[in-house]
Amino acid sequence: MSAVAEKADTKDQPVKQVKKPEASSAEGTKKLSGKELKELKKLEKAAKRAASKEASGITPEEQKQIAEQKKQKAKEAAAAAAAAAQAHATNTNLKKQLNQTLIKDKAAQKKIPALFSHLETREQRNASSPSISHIVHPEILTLTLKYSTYKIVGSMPRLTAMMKAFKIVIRDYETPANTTLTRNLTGHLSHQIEYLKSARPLSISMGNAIRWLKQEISVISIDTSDEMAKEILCEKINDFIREKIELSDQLIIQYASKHITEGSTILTFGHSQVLEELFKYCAREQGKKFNLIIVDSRPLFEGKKLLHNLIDTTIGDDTYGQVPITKDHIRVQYTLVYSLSSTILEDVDCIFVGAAAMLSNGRLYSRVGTGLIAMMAHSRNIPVLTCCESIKFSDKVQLDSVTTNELADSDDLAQDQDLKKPPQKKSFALEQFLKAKKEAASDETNNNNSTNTNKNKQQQQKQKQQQQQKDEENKADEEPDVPLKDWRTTPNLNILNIMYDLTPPEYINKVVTELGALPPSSVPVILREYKNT
Amino acid sequence: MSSFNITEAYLKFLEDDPDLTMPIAAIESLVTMLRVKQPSTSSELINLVKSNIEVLKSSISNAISLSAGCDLFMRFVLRNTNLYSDWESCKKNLVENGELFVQRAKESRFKSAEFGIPFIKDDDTILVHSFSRVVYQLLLLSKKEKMIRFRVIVTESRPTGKGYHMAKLLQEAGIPVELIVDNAVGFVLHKVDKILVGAEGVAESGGIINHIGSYQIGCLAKANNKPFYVATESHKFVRLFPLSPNDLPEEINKLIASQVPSESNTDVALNTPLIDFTPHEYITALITDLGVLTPSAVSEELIKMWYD
Repeated sequence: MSAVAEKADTKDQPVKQVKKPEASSAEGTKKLSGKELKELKKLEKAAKRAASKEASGITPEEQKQIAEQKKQKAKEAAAAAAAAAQAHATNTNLKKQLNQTLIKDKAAQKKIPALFSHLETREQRNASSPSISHIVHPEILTLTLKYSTYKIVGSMPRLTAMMKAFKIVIRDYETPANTTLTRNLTGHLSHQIEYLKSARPLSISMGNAIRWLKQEISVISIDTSDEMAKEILCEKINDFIREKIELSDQLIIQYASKHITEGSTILTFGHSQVLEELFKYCAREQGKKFNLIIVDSRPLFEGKKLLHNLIDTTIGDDTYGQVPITKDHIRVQYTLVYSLSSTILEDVDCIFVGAAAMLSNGRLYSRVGTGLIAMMAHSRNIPVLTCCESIKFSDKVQLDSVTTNELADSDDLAQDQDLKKPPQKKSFALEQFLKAKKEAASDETNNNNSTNTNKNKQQQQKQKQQQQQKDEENKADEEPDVPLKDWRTTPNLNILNIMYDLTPPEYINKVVTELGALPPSSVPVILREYKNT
Repeated sequence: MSSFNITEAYLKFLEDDPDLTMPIAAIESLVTMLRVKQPSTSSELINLVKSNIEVLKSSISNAISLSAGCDLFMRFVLRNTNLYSDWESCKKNLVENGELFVQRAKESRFKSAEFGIPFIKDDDTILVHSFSRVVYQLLLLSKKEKMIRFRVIVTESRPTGKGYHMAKLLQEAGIPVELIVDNAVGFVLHKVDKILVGAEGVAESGGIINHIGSYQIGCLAKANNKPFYVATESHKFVRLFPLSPNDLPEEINKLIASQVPSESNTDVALNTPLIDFTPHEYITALITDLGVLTPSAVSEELIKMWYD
């Protein structure tokens, strides 16, 4: 019953809102909170549009004008529609208009090769991010910041962190009046996810996990008390982390460790959580001695992280003292992908690469550079193995790494080597906050200016001067002479910094999953057999 | 009761019935072991099966297909102990189903052979490597029942010389046979229409573990664009995934190597492996009792077998 009613609401609402926005919002608070949410969503959308426009260079004034025009148009249209009782057509028409303006603006602004122009840049992601930070849980805000600064990187760490954050979100969640947890929590989570996406797009494993969680929420009986339901969900998330991540990794390590034999030479690329554990396991638990070549790449230098973590891992007992595993057990060689030439690959027995996703046509979607290494290994008949939890399996089919990919910040590439600082990024929420603060401040000064005495003015001038000085100092600090400093304004200069690439199945010998080792051609079998369970 | 020896039972089964393959003999001896030992709890049962499998695997050389049978039975036991709440009925069921299992496995050879008949045509020249019961059954069936006229070239299959056995059997069946040394495979290949081999075990990737020399024949077949068929039974699917022809469990190859009779008239001892692994890309199709499979379908069957 109520579902039908809601549907009817959605149909009517656009018209209603244009006609009498105050009335509908007032109504919303009184009545259904589902409606409230819809309102929120609408506001978000509006904010998104505004933000994206701003990002594409339209000033707030212009925007206001446009908005005014649109409102008028919409009003006229709505009036006409109401008269003709054709609310639907106008609604879609309006949307179309909006979309058209959006696309044009975007195309003018992009600074990446045209082939990749369909991918979302960081600016666009931020622009399209809803200004809903007031309903986003602090835990998610923190997580978003960690994602965007690559503090948490790699498919599995990201997934684990997200699930843990969701647990806290669920624990702190309170069902609004007149609705149930089963129906409302999914929406609440969607807001969090929406915000999370402003840092980086969701990975395949995160998408799979979110789908699972929403399914779990929806099957909770409506009679369950909120406390109980939250308890159940948290328990389920715990089980999920244990089963799909921790235990899976253990099994994968067991299977994969057979390929690391005493005295063999293993090559790995970048950093993968499960591979790090694998190397540690082989050295500490099995006492194997082997050579490890860590191949790394710009700009993330994830291999350094692996190296660091391996050096930090110790072996031995307290009586004889702890020594790092890299001392006696793993002889590490660290190199960049560019030097991956003849001599390095000469005596490699086996190559282990991580995975971001396994696609159903057997292709491996992984950190950019993996394909290159796999092909190189194939030409030398070196087996390439990938360790991939089944949560990363996707039923998607992709033939190239252009259609779907992730654009990282071009600044990461433009930055110079001499600049020792790691890529600095502000969180979107922080940017918003700063902007709001600035606006408030300027408003205040304006007000003060009109009413205050000379004395105050002088003070303000002094302050301003100080501020300017400070700004200049900061500028000098921030911008040394970097060759690509002006890449944003240089015409015809595009920078491409993509995150992933696709490795064809011919170049992968084995996929090690917690269900056993498989050839890449068997990925669809796993998907088929396990989709139902 | 305690004097039951699994290895002896296994060898006796093989001796009594020369047609019996190793995995079936293994399963049969395990079922017999259960009947004799009468374990009283499920954990005792599982431990018993486990320890016996271990004994069997370590004492028998060339344990690839044997381990396939053992693993299959182990899985069968684990699944069934969970299925029944009542211990007595569970035990009874296990023994009964075990026998049924053996029965079915025995029939699978004939099924495989039947699926393979359409592959043999009049005027074919077929290259056969080593001795395989399924291949023999398939050729016999084509000759006797379908009256297909074809020629067979059999390799000598050193160092075991199993090819002589195969050639003899085929000759007795009235099939024209030619015996060649292993080194002559390349020489005869261009007039061969198809290649037919058996398998000790089928790995997860769809590659096969077979008598030494299969890999080189596979490579030659690929280079000459000749179809390379493998006739085998589905209970020989093993949960192994070698990466290269010599990437086989060490214990297995060691036991085999020591078995080879050394040539007395040379100073250098002959030390050769007896089995190798042929990767899936060299195999055209697998003729099994489940039907004709592409190599990639093997892992599908294995996954179904192990995780349904």
